[in-house]
Amino acid sequence: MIKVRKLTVPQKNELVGQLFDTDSYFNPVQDINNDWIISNEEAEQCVNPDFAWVAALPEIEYLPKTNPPFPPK
Amino acid sequence: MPKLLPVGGFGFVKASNIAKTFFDVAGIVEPYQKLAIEQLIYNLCNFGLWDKVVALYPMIGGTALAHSFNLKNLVNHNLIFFGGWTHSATGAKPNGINGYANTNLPHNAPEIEFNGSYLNRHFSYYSRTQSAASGVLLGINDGGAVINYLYPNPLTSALSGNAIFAGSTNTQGLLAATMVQTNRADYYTNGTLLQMSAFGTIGTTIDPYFLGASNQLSGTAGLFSDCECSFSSIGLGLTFNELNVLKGIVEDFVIAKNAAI
Repeated sequence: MIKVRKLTVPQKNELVGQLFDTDSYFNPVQDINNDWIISNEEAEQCVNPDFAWVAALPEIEYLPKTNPPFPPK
Repeated sequence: MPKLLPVGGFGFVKASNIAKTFFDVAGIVEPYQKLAIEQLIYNLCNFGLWDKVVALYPMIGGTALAHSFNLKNLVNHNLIFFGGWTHSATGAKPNGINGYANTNLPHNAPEIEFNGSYLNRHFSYYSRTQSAASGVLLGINDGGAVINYLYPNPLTSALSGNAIFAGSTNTQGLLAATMVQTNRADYYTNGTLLQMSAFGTIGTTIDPYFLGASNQLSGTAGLFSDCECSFSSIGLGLTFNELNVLKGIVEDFVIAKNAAI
């Protein structure tokens, strides 16, 4: 079972385009329930003090969206 | 087969000069890692492949910064990492959830245009992971121009419209695709031809290739992979023989860079 961290929409908006360490950016995505999430790697590797709160985000089970038919039309 | 780096000679000097700058910016200090890089450059030069590569990611050094550099050109087309990755001495592993890297190398970049054509192209990805999930190792899709290395996927659905992609159940080793001035893409797994995909036309999108996922629709990443990348290259098309030489060079490189593990 893969765990991820659940975000609110305002939290997602705050993280888009922001660095969690000197060389890596957050990438919030939506799960099958359309909840916004980031990965445990981002939460655990975050050293940006502006976003230290991500370490306390609630963990949920990751349920991916079904991939669209490949290749997309 | 690839040769060990000889001491002295033009190739040695060239490899040493390129490598020295890389060591400085990427913070490479371990002697065995330095030797692995010098040997990689020397072999690529010696076998005529260096000039056919535009982006070369050796994934050495164990940090996001070190893994971001394009060894071929330390200024252009360096990787920018997004989402969840694990960086280690063996390479960079995306998490299959939201991790990818932007190569900043557009599909229609002049560096990979050949005689006015975008039909001359190769890309390779050395994966250390046998994955049970589905994902794209390296690719782009935008406006009908699709170039992806997808796994695992039924070969029967390998061609759709302008799409070019491969289905492979073996996701370990050097997985590569090449087009050499024909409307056909050849996909290889560890030197064995997996699939030949004919196609009609290919687009000229300005969007860049993504590593560890596909660039879907103007910069949005999708089809995330969980395969650890130990080496990747993008450049002009390679023949079957050239791809086999590249396979040997990369296998030697991966062994050399992991010598202390």
